[in-house]
Amino acid sequence: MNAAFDSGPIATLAFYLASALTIASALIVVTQRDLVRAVVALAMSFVGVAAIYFILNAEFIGVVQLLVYVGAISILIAFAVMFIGDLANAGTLSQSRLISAVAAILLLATVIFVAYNTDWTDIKDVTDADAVAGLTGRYEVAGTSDDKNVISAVNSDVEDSRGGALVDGSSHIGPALISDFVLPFETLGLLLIAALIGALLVIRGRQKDDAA
Amino acid sequence: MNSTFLDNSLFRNIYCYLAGGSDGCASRGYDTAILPAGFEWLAFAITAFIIINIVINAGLGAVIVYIWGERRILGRIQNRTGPNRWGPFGMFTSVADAIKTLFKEDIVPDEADRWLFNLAPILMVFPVLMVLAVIPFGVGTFVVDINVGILFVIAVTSVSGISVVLASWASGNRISIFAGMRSVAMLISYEIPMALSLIGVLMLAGSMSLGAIVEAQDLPFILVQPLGLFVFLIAAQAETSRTPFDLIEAESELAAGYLNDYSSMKFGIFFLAEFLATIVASMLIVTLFLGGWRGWDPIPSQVWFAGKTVLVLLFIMWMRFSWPRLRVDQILVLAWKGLFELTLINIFVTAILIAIWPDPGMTELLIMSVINWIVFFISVWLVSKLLRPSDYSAPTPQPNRPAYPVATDELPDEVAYTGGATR
Repeated sequence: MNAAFDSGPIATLAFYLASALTIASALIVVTQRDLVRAVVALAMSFVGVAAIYFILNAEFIGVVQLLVYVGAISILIAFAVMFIGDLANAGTLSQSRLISAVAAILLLATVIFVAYNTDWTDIKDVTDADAVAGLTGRYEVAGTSDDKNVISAVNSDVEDSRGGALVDGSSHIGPALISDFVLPFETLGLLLIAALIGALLVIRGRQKDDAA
Repeated sequence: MNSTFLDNSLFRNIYCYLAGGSDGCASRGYDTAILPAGFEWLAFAITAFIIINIVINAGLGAVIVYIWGERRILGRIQNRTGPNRWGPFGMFTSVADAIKTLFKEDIVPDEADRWLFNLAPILMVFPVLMVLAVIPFGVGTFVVDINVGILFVIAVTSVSGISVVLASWASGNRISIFAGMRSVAMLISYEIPMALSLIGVLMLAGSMSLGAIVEAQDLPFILVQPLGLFVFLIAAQAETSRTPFDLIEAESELAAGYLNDYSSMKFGIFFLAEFLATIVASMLIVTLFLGGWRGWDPIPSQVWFAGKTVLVLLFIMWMRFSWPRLRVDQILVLAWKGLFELTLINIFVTAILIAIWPDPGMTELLIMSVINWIVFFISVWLVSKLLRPSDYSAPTPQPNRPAYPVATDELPDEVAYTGGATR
């Protein structure tokens, strides 16, 4: 991806449009009394976040965001909302405003903390040629020392090469999941199975109550 | 400029005509520059706008032709004439229908949630058009080739579920909500076999980009992946709610399902999304399993692609016109107990074969396809055995009775056929 286009007016405009969509629909989610409309606004907000991932060249994460949040979670929330009997008073579900406020403030503090402690160095600010080469995929493996690959910049005309590390990140996720991150991966699988069985148990229990 | 965009011949021709001086175009021999240097972004925007317009309008035109063709062929298959009055072979019937739909009165029911009611048709047509963006129509003829193409298709089509929920909920009537509930159960169920059936293709091609998958098909994947094609074909039919699986509309049970209360062009947009989804599904089948735009030389690749798409569409129509609608439980059982197992078998067998031949040449691919076809027949036979209801026995023909039901005053003393329920 050429830097001249990345910082061009279209990318900037697209970023501001996506951000506006995300923030505006998030505001609708918290102010709208009608729960179904709030769910739709939430889905829109997810779409905005996915668009930002796409603008940042993180296509894989953007697509997964669409698939999981918009395609699955929004539909589930919509279903749950429709099964709530008293929709008219559903807006006052949250009983304890204090707990909600504390939780919201804690979440905001975490996000701000993470945002301030992240290294936001842009590729444009990186001066080391080897580091730039690694980030944009214009590199070759120069040699191996202590099971680490030493990379160095490729000096050829890179106009026609597709970027590696930044653009094609998806192919590195699979190997990473079954090597370095195998324990978190399996733990998450266990958690999901527990949630699945829990959900089944809740439904079965209710059905027995209804029959009795 | 990203080389991905300049590989696209349609994009390159327009873009380099506008901004020929920029580096990517100059190295490819373009030297006309209409816009001054520094306005590459404007050239990019104009080009993108033109291409998106071409693709969307071509898609809408294809829907008009497709509806006409489907009605003609439906007539032929069911031994009647079909539309034949307006224009040669009734060709203008769809155009007249479209104009009529545009000019009808637009009614929003009092009970409806007006905001969501208007939003639902837009959300319905949006995913279909998004899928159109990643399909390679020919050599260098595509809108964009992203490297997670297949995942993008699956993700974007999953959005259509929420638009069905919205349409059924916002109409504010019970029949629509019934349709919405059961159709979402169906859509979510069939997304899983649809996504899993493509994993074999991914493993063989080694890439998720649709362009790379077409280039990897020295042998069309229909030969190497029969089980994947079988499951994908059925699941795509369900996702686009064609007739064996048209629970969503089910005219005879639910009036018109979730689009009961829609009139005028809002109804038209739902209709358009459904037919466009069928066309896009057959384009995907062509791209993933039939070798995409690959063909033999004197005929251009775009024509090969279109021809294969028409063939798949004819097959899908044939399925639609021949089979009756399934029941809700039958549809869900087919997805979870039938197709799901088949995809797992397919993934397992393909993974073993790829572990044996990591970089298959033509001979290895042929051996693979023979093994996969044997696995296909055995596993489909086994699963059909498993899904067959154990208490089913074919009704014995009784000579005293007429072959068709006759209305009588009294109830029949026995019921000959108790249904094919599997539970």
